[in-house]
Amino acid sequence: MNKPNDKMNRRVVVTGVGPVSAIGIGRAAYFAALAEGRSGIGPVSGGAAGLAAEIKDFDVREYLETEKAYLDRASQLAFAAMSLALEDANLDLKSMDRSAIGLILGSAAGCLESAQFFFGDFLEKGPRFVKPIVFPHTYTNTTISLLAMEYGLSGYHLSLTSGMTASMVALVQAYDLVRTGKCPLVLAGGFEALSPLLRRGYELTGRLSPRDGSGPEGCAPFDAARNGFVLGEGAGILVLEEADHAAQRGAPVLGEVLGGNLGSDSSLCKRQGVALGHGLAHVMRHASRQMSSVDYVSAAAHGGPVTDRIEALALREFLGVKAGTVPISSIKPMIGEVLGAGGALQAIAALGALQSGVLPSTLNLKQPEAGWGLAVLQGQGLQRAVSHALVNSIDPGGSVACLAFGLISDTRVSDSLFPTGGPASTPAAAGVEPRPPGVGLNTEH
Amino acid sequence: MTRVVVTGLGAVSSLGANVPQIWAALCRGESGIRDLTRFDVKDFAYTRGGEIVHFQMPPALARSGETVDLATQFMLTAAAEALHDSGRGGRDTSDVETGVVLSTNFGGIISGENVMTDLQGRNPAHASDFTEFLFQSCADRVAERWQLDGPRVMLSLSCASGTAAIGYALDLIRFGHAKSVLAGGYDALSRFAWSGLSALRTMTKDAVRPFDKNRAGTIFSEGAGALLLETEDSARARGARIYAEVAGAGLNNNAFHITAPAKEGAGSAAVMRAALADAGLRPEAVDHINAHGTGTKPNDVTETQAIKAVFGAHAYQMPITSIKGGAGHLMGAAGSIEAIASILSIRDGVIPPTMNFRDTDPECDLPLVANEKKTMPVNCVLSNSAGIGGCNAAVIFRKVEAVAG
Repeated sequence: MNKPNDKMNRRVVVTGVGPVSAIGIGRAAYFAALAEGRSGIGPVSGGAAGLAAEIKDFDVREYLETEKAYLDRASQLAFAAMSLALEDANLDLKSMDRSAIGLILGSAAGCLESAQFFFGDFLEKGPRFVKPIVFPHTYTNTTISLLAMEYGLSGYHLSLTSGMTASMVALVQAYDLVRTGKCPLVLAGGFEALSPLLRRGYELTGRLSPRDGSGPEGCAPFDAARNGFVLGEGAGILVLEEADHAAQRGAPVLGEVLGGNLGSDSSLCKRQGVALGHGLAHVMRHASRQMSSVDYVSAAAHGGPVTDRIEALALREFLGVKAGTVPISSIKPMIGEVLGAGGALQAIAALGALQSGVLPSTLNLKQPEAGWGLAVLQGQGLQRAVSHALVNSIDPGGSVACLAFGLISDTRVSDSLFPTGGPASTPAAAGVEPRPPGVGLNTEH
Repeated sequence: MTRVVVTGLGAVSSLGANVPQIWAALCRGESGIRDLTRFDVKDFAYTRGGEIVHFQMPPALARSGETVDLATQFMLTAAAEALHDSGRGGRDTSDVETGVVLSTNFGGIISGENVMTDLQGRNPAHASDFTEFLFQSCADRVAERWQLDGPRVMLSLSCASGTAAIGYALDLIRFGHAKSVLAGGYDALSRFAWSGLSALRTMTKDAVRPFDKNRAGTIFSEGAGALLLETEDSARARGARIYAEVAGAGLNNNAFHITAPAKEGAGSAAVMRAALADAGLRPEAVDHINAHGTGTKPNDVTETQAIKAVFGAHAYQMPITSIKGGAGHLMGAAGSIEAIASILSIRDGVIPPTMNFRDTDPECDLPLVANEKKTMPVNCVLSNSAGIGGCNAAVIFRKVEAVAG
């Protein structure tokens, strides 16, 4: 942890987070909900069938610097995440050289609410009656471009659309830009909004946990009875900053980014995931190569029959002899499958686990798939001080991304993180023997 | 720093089915703009565009029982050419060192329209309509065809997309995530895009006349472009033909207005400076600019101002061109095809003409390669792009001297 901050490989720290999710908005509320093991999944509002992790009681006006005539819901969630992240990091952008600050966000689907709104006019009224003011809001980059305008961010600018890995890809690029000295500070993460179009689309694919009574509906990662995922919405933005830059301005430090990597496996779906975790295991090895141990893994698992198995096989290969002891959990039963926002919300949750010493549980996991031999956390969260966490992101099409976080020892748990009275009170994990802090995977890579 | 070179090119557009055809058409000054046939245009204000008619994806790229969105078919076709051109087309084992970085504005929107129509209570959609609509599916298809198992990334940066993909791919290689990356951009003409782009009133019923005094707007086209980027070491080791070095790139935002360019082209100037700094080059090292040159009033004047701000007096020594007069504006593929033109200018010592030019605009007074191609040695080209949302991207290509022995 005390490696020097050399110029070609600068240290990168996280100095602020802006989570917006169905279980909580803002760092304190989000961390508390994760530690409690609260689920944001419930019946879809508005009378449609099925479950979703919707964000309720949300008013974007609380987070806007200037009034807006129109904002897609996806952009609204991103604006909230941005405002919260800047506040959390104690950043006064106006006093900084904003042309040096990067902005990278990912989203799998972008602004589908606006797409339907726009094209609905086309279908019902004809091409001359579409709304020119709505059309630019159908571009996926509009969200970050509006954020750039709002905050005067004229620097590095990238909008990623890499499916369920989108925000993790954004974070990896942000890490590399800061690490190599191209930007002293990058705002990175992702966003995804629920919309009737997104729901209709995923209903067509048959990848959702069934709503037609053919099986129990719900999100049960790593469970033998898992049968698909439940959609959610949310946004998460992290402030990644060069360590010296953060120190100079006296910024709070939540953790250090110790690695990031991307990969893919083109045979992922075709061969039903049999022994095809190698690609992901390789990416995990590379992402964690600077860490002496991996103490906790935030899994991407969302209850998909194939992708959960692939991730399990990859984790087994990667963790090796430690596979049965390193705690793993998926927070998707809490936040839903938030697609492009998933990696960022998982990353923030992992930082919360490092900070609080409470590892979130995998809700709804009742009967782990036999033979995987993984220490997936069930029941309530596990109270265990850990210092190294790995976060996985997987798209069912075969792309993966991982990010590794470390706790900087003198920054653990300030009580102010838990204004509601401290982390979860009754930590206990079924299926996992509680172990003393610091026991983890010896690096073999 | 790791040097990154281009070893393969592929493209499809209304000007031709492959790079040699498109390059020849650009140099001859042909037009790819025609009456649209893809959809019924009778209620549209604009009826001409760069549509690819009679498109047929090479049969070898098809998979039985698989429905592939038209835009993705364009991308697969361009990718196949680029990989074949690079001398590595026939590979059929998993290649974890080669990534895929693709960019688009609208992706599989033609398939997406079917889901939107379904949701509107009209014709029911199929599962493939949605999966083909998802951006990432195009990268999945390209990766699957050639087992490119490195990083797989989709991005979307409006009309700067194609250039941004090259810049991001360059970073992936420099940062050590891949040894080579297939970088591409694609988009198809659709009712969705055409109705929106018509409503924005950036199009013209006249021809596209970049930098002309009487320019009245742009015309949108479709297609795809692909470049295989790899480390110079990897290219030399396998004895590959090297087109050019990707010397540097920049991405940024105007942080000004969603559709209007920034005053004096400030964002565009900043992105060109960023690309020069990234390449470690002085402005005088650049001897040609392949401009964004959309043919709209605001773009061409602000781009001219930006070039002058960055290059000073050198701006008047260096020819610029915009291929959009003949090719039209290929949206997410524009930067990709303009990069290919820039690279072939280096290879052939030929700058393709800016078509439809008649009258000089005193506000756009840089040396333009107007109507006829220009033959001159070209060592270093900057390709410039910009798009809705105030996104800017620039990339610089430089001639690579052959290594003796």
